[in-house]
Amino acid sequence: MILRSERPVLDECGRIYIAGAGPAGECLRLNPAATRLWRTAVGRLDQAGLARLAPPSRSFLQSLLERGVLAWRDARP
Amino acid sequence: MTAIALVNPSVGYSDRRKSKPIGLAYIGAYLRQHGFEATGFDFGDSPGRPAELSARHGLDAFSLVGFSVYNESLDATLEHAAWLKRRNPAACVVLGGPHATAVHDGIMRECPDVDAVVRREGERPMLDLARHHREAPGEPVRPDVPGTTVRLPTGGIRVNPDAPFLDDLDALPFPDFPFVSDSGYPPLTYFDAARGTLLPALAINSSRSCPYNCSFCGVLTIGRKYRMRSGESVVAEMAHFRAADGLPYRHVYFSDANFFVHPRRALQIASALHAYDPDITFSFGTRVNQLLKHRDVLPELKECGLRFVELGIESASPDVLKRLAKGVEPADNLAAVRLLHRHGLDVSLDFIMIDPETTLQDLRANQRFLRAGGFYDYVPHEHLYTHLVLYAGTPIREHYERRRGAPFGMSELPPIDTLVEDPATARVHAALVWFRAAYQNAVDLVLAEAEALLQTRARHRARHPVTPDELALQLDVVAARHAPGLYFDNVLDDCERHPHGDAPFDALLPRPGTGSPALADLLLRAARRIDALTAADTGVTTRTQALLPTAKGVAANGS
Repeated sequence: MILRSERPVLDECGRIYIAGAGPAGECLRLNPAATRLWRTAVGRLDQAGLARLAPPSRSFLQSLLERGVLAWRDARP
Repeated sequence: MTAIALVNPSVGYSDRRKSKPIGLAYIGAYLRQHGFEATGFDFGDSPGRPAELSARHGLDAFSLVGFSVYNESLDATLEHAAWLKRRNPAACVVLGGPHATAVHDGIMRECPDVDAVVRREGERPMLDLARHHREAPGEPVRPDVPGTTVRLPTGGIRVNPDAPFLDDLDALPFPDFPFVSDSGYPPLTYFDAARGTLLPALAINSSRSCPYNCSFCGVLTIGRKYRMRSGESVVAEMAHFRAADGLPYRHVYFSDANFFVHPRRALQIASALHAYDPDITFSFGTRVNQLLKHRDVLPELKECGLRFVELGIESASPDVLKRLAKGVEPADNLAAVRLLHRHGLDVSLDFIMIDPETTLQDLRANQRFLRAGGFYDYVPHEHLYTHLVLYAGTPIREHYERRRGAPFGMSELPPIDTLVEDPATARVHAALVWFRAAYQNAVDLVLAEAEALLQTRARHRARHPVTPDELALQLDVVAARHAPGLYFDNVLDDCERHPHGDAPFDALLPRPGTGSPALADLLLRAARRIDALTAADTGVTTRTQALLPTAKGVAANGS
């Protein structure tokens, strides 16, 4: 199982944009650090990999998991 | 009886951001305070010819007529003056404002219909001229008023010494002076994203001039002596206009040339406003160096309601910043933007994308700054299209006069495409002009409609649960915001690869957004989604279609 996005995502102009991921269901623009983390984690990271992340990165991804923006899905495409 | 008119002349086109001419309003209020009633005419956005406007509003019935003159409006002013003098030769015609100040001697030499030019601040000289006009009706203009350049009865021209600056700005009346206007004034508002509310807003000027010497700035013509109002005076103006206009103003746009010269004064004004009404928010403009130097004040200003700062960034090229005499490095610009963002404050971007000596290297520096500062999401997209304007009386205009070996005409504002020296930069400029004409209106329409819709849905989420259409529209909005910046990227890449290339401009269009659609398809897709999510028929798709190049007949190569 790996991390996958449950929302439509746009990777453009150096940033990740996640539709519906804001607190009121608006579009969320990730800052440069979070964008880098997203690119390395989403579609790639398994649960062991998540556990190995530094605490700030791990808690950021966990908060997206709790809000249903991310989910554990089958690794097969 | 002295009948006085104060006129803001037509510039021949409509300015959608029309606001009251505040300089004339101050003069009108000052004259009234001293017993002279004047009538204000604001033709600033009137497409009518000056003679027709003069006739329609009966300007020949006035015996003292003052015009506020900018570079763009000098020719129109002189047409007004000629019409007026033909019908009422005894009328006294006075020109003032930044452009008249800069070219006062030229005006008096070349324009026989003008009796006097008021230089720099207009309040005292206009009052002196009005007093003389009342005491000696029909007589020539008083020859010795400080701050004026006058035509003498002998035909000679006399340049009187400058008038002293008005030091006590608190003693001035508030600029509460009505203007006859063809179109009225749109309500001034501010959308406070933090509260999700549109607020009625008031523009207040809390200081005059600026102690800096940016080489392009027209404020230089009125002198660099910085003078300030107190917090109590600003609060009293807010209370005055709330009562006079019957509107609960809740945001203040400080329209000062530079609000943040003395940070303690800025804080004093902000604190006074906050104490008067803690719901009031405000914004101001300043320079990057001031902001960085006095960053410690920002938390308190935010606490008092500061929402955004208009920053005179102008350029990210070290060479251009030197020419503009900004006195900062590109890194300072980015640091100032990041400082504001760290404090949760928005940036309003003042930018000059192209000056006559701009190179591709300079444009690349601008591109890197816009990327690093997060400005690919920024609207409006004006910063991509702005260019240096050579206002009379500025050092940069003199620089380019020396460079070309001849002065510009008195009312001439040379078009940037006649000045750009690097052919590759000229091609970038032409491509941006083409994009603006071809696509910007459709981009603006889609963004305005979509963002209003999405904000409403987010505010009332219980009534509007998120749907797949809304999610898709959210990303279309992001892509539409990016489109002009991505086009700029493509143009720069192309000009670098083919400096003398002639690829049609539409071949450089980006394909932003999910699925990489053609730009027109992206905009139409977003428009259809807006219509689908809107209960009432807003016809956004039809209106967008009408704004696209195919409907407007814009050629793909810019011709």
